[in-house]
Amino acid sequence: MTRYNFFAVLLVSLLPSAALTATPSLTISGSDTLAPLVTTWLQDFKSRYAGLRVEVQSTGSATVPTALAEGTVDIGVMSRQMTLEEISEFVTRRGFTPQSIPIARDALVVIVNKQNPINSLTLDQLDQIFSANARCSSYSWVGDWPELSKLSATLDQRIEAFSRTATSGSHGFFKSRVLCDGDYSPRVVEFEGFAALVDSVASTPGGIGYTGLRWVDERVKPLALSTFGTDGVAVSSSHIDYPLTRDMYFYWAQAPGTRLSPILCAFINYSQSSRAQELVVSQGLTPIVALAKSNGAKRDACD
Amino acid sequence: MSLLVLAAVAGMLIQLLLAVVPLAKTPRLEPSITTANPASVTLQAADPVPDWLPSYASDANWQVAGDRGIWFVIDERGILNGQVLQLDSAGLAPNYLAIGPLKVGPKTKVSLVNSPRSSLLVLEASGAYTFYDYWGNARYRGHTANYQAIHILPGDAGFLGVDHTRIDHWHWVREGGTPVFSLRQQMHFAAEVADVVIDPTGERILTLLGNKQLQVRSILSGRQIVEVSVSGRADKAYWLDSHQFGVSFSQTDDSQARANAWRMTGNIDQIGAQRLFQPLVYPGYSQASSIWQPLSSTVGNPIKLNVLPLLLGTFKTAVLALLFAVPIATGAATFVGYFMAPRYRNRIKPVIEMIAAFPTVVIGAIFAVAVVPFFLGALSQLLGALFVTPVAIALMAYALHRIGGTLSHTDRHSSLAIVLILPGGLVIALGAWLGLQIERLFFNGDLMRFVSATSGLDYQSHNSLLVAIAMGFAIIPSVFTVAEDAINSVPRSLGAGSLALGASQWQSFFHVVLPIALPGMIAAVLLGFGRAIGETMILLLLSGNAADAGFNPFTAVRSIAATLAIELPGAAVASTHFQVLVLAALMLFAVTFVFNTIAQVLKRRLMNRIGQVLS
Repeated sequence: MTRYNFFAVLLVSLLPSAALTATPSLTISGSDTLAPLVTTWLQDFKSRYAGLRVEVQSTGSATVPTALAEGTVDIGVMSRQMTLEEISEFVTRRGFTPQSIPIARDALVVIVNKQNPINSLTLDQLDQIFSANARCSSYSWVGDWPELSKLSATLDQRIEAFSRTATSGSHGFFKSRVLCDGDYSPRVVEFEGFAALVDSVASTPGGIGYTGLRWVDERVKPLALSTFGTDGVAVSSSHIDYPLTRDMYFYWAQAPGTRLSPILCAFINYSQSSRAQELVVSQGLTPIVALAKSNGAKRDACD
Repeated sequence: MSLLVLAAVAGMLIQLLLAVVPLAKTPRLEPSITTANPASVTLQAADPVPDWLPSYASDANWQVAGDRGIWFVIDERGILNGQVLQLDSAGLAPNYLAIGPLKVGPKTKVSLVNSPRSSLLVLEASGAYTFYDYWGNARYRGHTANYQAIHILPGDAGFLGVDHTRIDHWHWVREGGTPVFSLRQQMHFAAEVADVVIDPTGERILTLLGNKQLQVRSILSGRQIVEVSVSGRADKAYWLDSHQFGVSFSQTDDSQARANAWRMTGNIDQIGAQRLFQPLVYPGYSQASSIWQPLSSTVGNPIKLNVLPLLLGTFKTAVLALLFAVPIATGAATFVGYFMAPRYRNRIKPVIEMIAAFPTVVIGAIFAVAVVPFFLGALSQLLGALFVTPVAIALMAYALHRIGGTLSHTDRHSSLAIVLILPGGLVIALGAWLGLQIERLFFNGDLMRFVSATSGLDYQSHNSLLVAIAMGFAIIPSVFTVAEDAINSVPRSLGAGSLALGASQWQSFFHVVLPIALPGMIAAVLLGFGRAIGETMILLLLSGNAADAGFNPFTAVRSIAATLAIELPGAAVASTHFQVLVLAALMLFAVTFVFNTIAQVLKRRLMNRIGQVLS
């Protein structure tokens, strides 16, 4: 009897796993800025595709090119575009270029401590704070808040600049947009996540850092930013004119002449749907739909 | 079983060594194309000229940098005209800026500059250069030297000036807000430089020397990577991609037209002692510096893989952690192992050893939340307590000595510790209070700010001192255990013998027990050091991960272990970055291996010594 029981248990336990191998699955990894959005999307998406298995990892945008080239993920989420080097590395390994589609737009908000009387900065000044070789500002690095803005009332503190680690897409975006592709100063402290970065800005009087809009809370003060010679622009939900807005992308590997698995292209198409873009708004990001429509370049990943 | 473990370790080591083997391979050439039809060789496509450019500009010099494009033409009168175009994501150009008309000399080059203050660089072969701003006004002018030909390097890396058998690399550095060209290095060649071609990554040049020799050099080091001699009249040299270059020969009286191409293999990035350990003058930097900057997103900005800041960070935090942990751990080991009554010892020792089971990530997280925000502010209190406590302990010990005659001999030392806890706490509080008062009176209420303002000493809330204290907590138990074992394994009879001959307890410990236990104590310290340099989580959370090459204990650091944890997932396998990371891991392994081996040898020596004493 016990032996039959054993086999019955074995059979029952094997059944679902056999069923699972037949059900479609999606593996998504990349930007942790976008992890909450992708998770929300998947919850919504799964309600239509019963039995869909999903796996989401937030490992940072810089891990995407390698993961895609090795074929360990279906979709890579990046909060910046792939660099030429990353693309050429992908091409040498796979023989074709990776596909991409913008999925949302986000603002990178520069934040300071509440005690700091400063309300706006120019991109030049940001370059002076964060850069080692000052490619944008041409001015040498500054270490004190009074040194940076001599005119207005300032905080008598050292500047403590906080950034993300090199695997983060935000690190790369900030580097190319604010530092003019220069190098980060060896003094810039790097964090593994935005939550820790915002915590540090909140607890360090002289702290300054950048973060995604959804991590900004009342403990820190977002700054208005201005490009050279213009007035400061505060971040708003529409992100128009704010200097540090960026598009975020889905990347996937698709050899020319081949078709994507139905579930994969369905999810990519879903990301462009109005339903998905409504969820983008609920996450404090800007939808991409309006942009795609204006270009008349809406594409169907299933083709 | 142990063989299995050994095999696994050896397997892993071999895996790691295999990953860095490409770094040891000297650059080599292998022929990739040989054809009689030079036109069939597809060249590395320059940025394709957009079809919507005006027809007279279609043969213009067209280049793209980031989201901007530029084209220019110079007519036969030497008048330069062109446009800078702001490109959108579809490759269209909604905004543009007209350049010129400008009167320029022959062989003038124009380059986009990635900076909001100056957007355009016009460089004449005579050496005159002008930076124009975004509105087309000349902002900065200067002069370098007269050259036969100039080649602008991509990515703001400056330009190469060719003068017969010499190539000068000029890069622009910032002096008080002004971009100024400065001579970075000179490359000398054995023959006349006929042609220079910059590779697609902007890091190497292909030079055609006297029509019969091809040489590839690194722009960063100026040194030769590979060289190949060609027979016949070489006509044109070119890059096919970042690893392949070729040369074409036009038809002459005695030879046919043909083209040859070669592929470079091996360590063509010249990753060696110079790039890993020596400070270098990188393009755009005014002085030589040791930089770890593995993410380079643009052409012409070579990745900077100097491991010196990482090594320095690793050793700096480890040594500081030992300075914090060793006195406490060995002091405690001495007391527990020799002076304390066994009934107390049997309870205390497991408690301390239990701390070793504490995951270091928890220690790091607790420090990150509860200590980092207050650490620098509480530095005066810390220093105050540090000065006052030893003095107070000495005073209390004296007092105890005067009143302690009634306690039994072994109990006295054990209870000493317990009796000290309460007044000890009070003394530390007193010291902290004193420190705070002194800070208020003499340092304007902010010690670090005052010291920094007067001496220029930099400080950050994430710093190596903080890491050292957190890591000290993590290594105290392991150092304590080994040191205590060393002291405790010295036979009691030796100490008792010396006591019987009239030595005091301290004399007995210092002159009889310690000399025998010393190798074991040193082994404890070395094991602690080995643990400290391999520690990852505490550094990841507290060090700030800033690769700063300095000895200042108040600034952020970056260790090898933390760098591996951060960057290995993002490094493409077989990329230079990956290989250097593995090399760093091997260095870390070598150091810990050496220290742990010495520790084991010392431990064995201790056992031998005890054996000798007993026999």
